[in-house]
Amino acid sequence: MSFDLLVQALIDGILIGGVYAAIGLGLSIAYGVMGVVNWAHGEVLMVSLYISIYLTKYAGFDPYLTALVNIAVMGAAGYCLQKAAFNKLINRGGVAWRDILLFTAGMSMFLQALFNMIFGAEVKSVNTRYSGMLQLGSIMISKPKTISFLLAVVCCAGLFFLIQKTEMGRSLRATAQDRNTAQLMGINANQVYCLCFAISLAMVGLSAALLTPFYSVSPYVGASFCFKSFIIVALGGRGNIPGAMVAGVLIGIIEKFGGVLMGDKIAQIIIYLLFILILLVLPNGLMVRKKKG
Amino acid sequence: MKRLKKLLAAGVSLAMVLSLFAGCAGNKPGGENNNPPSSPPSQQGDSQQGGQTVPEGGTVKVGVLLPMSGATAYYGGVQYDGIEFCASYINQNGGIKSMDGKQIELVLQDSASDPETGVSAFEYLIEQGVSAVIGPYNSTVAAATTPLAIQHGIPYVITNATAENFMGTANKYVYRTNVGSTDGDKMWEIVLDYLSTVRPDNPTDKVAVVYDEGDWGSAAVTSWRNNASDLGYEVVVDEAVSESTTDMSVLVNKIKSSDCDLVILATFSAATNLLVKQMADYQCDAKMIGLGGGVGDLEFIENAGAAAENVLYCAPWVPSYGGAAPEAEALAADFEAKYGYALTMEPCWGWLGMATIINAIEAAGSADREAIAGALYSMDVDGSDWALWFSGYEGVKFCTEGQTSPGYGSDSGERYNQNIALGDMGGMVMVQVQNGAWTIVYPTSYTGGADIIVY
Amino acid sequence: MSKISALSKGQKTKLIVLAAALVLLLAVPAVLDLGVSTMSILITVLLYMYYASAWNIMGGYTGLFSLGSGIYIGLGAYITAVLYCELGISPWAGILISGLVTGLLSMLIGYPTFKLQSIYYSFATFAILLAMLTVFKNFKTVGGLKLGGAEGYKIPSGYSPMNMQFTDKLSYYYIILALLVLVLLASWFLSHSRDGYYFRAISANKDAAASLGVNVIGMKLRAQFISAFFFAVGGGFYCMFMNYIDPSKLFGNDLSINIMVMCVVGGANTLWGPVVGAGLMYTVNRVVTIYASSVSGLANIVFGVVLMLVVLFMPGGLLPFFQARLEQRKAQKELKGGGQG
Repeated sequence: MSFDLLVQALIDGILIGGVYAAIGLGLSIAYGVMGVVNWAHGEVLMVSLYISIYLTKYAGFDPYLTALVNIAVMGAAGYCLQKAAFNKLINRGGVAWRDILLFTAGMSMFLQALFNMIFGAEVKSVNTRYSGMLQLGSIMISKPKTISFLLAVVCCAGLFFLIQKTEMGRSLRATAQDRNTAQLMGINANQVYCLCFAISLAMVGLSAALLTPFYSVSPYVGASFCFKSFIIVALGGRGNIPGAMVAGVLIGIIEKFGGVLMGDKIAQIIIYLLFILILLVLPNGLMVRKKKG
Repeated sequence: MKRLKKLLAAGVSLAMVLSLFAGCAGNKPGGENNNPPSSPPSQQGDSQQGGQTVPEGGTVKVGVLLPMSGATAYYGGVQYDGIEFCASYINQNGGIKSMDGKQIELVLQDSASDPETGVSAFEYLIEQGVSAVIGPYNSTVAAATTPLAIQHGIPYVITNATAENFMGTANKYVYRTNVGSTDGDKMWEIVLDYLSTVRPDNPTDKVAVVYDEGDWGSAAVTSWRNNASDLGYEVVVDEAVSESTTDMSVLVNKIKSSDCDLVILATFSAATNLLVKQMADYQCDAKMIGLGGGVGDLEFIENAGAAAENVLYCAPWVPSYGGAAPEAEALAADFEAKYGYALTMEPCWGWLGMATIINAIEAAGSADREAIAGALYSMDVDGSDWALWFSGYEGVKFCTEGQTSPGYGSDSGERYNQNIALGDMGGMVMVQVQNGAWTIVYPTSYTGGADIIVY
Repeated sequence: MSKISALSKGQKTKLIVLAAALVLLLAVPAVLDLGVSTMSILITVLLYMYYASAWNIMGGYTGLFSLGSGIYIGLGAYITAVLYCELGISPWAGILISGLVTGLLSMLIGYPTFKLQSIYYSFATFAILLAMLTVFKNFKTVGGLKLGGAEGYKIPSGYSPMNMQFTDKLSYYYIILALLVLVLLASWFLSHSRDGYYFRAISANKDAAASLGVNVIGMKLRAQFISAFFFAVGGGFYCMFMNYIDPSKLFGNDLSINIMVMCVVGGANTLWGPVVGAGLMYTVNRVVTIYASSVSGLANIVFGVVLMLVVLFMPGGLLPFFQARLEQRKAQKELKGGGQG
């Protein structure tokens, strides 16, 4: 195996890993704060991708600017969904994550079939002005992927800042840590949850915009990213933003390295097995936080 | 509690009754008899149930089994368009003349791209009293449903489903009008020979094979792999990809660094799109030859943009490539006007299969399944027949005595009832994206003898 | 059996009703010619009821929320098929062998995953399922056996009752009916046994259960084995019924998710819940697909919507919901009656 191939794989892995991280981050936050897993996470990405790609292709939007539309639309959708359905399920007192898993499984089937009906099953993609490669010796670096990577990092950092430093972020963290105590301190947990899910879906919407210059959409595209997001949640630790970033990049790198050394299919299997291993050995993900006091 | 149990029993019975309605809706000719034959498990495919006579009705019903939902829904949809177009063409032009102008009625059932649903749907079609079935597009559904056709004695014309593992039983019910995955051998010889004449000073000897991990992809490249070394080619990259792959950069770079000259591609829409674009991104010079799937999509060129330039496609000939009979030209225009897109492979092969069934009904002069099966068995039409208007084959004639080849995936190593009037090129031509449009480059009879290929 | 006479009148009525239903199920398809299509639908409904009940043992009673039922169904199918096609072992024995082998394998796979938090356990089962899917789709030969890869594994069809091969549907119907009765009996015995008591304790709060001396790991292994055994037997039956194995179907996420959904929608942790859930969801799905074939994917839209509505408005599933309603009305009636006194 040539060294060049490995270096190329490393770069590609890091770049795509950033986008994986942005996608997985949404899931990680929802899981971190509320302990629930959105099985329709991939389908949310699918819907956002349709919005982004159609706006870019037919309405002449700049692909990265569609992020603003997506954030607004998906954020609102997340807020409403949490308010109308998820809060009900969480507050009911059953096993919340199972109910939500089931509900979102239904949502996932529904969305796939609906979009198949509306848009047909054909794949759609768009060619934007963000294209081309930078050449560094024999290594080629994709321009749009680099832009997406940088934007992903910036947004993740921004989200981190939001969570760590703002009032809203504090309420989120407090509710995540102990919902009852937070409520005693005057935080409206239901409201916080709505906000949390809004952020979760907004992140997905943003990621869709990041994917637009180089990816395609079909009603079934959700499956490609959904499981990776689960891995990021497990690897990165629940609600751990820097963890998710690292996890995403790590997955990207392993995928690429594995692909070079063993072929993409075997690399896939390795990733599944690694995932299980991580679950067993490092239940809190890679970045084990020191518990305060 | 006991009332609840009663309710439950009633509920379960209700569910059963509901399923009864699901199965019983529509006319049902006198039920199937369920006698097992006295012979041991047969490799013969003779009907074990006796021919089914369809009651006199106003139309001849033909069952259509296609994936209208699920992973291959798109292809099912466009294939149905072709089948429907064919049936309405006949209906508008006098119907089945040997039956006093009886009209063809299509009964569509969704296989959901899934063998289990396909089997259930096929059985439903049988009970609807269809005289024949056309479908199912997916090889996995074909593998699951062909034994049913043989068991219940119903003519089944296979469309697409190019795998070879379900054509291995001698019988008179299952027929395939289009190529199978192993029928590309001669075509490959010709194509690669031609390519080497176009570049005599720099012949290709290293190739990469990239295919979708599903049933179609792995079957499609079989012919290539079986013949690669015989034809003097070395397969240096051989990888399966999935439609949900998010990035092909590693594969592309492997291809680039292994000095491949040719990439044989059998992938679906998303993977093809990704690969073609990334090949252009990384400036990998290898030429790409698609075998179908994604490259055949209507929006392939639009989606891939400039990256699609010079991509080759060993495509089944369709009228838009030129050289169609005048009536076919006119009809192709009608199709485009009615359905909004130009004929592609799936509707064309749908037309071929449907027209073959109609020809058989005409020849049999009846809607009786046995008679139609017999007509298919002895069918022999040449390239001028209307069934062949939208395909590049030389006729329709089935190898009822069987063919033998180790390449056949069936247990017996044999194949029955495949259309063998396929011609050397197997109805294929080679097209290339030139200036953003598919242009036919081989056989050169279409280009006025000139080598316009960019290679 | 003196036990029967010791039952209360209410319980006797229960038994009679069940017996009557069983007689109906046995007799109707034999007497009436229902046609191939209906028989197929019946067989498939019973099969899903069977799967859902098998899932219930580990997922409903014990709280092992597995998203990987397909692992065991697929393994059962392949083992049975290979034993028959390569070694000529009759599937009657084959399904039992595959059940045992898969059951043992499941304990091996399950053991390390048991200590995971519930949701991570589900992820792990899903990951294993996806890994199996990738292996069986991409490798035409696994362990020296030609399994066909994504094109599937075909079993030569024919008539051979000694080898579970029939040309009529009725025989398959009886087999799956028998299997369903078996799994329901097993569920019933388990839930009324001490093991069942432990299963439920673990499901409710495994730490508390452990502190009370319940052998949590042992019980989980037991539940896992039983469920996997039944799944594998079901898979073996399925491959002989279809004469074909499609790895994308058996190891695909749709099948495993649907099985879990059917059980939970009907009412996990109850005896008849999975039966109701599977019966309803499969029937609706099939009916919609048959009548709305040209409307692409309507069945899934309906499925998804029904699922969302049930989760939202019927916690615990359909059966417990209606049961509770009935109890409510009964209580109201009694109150009224009593108040009149």
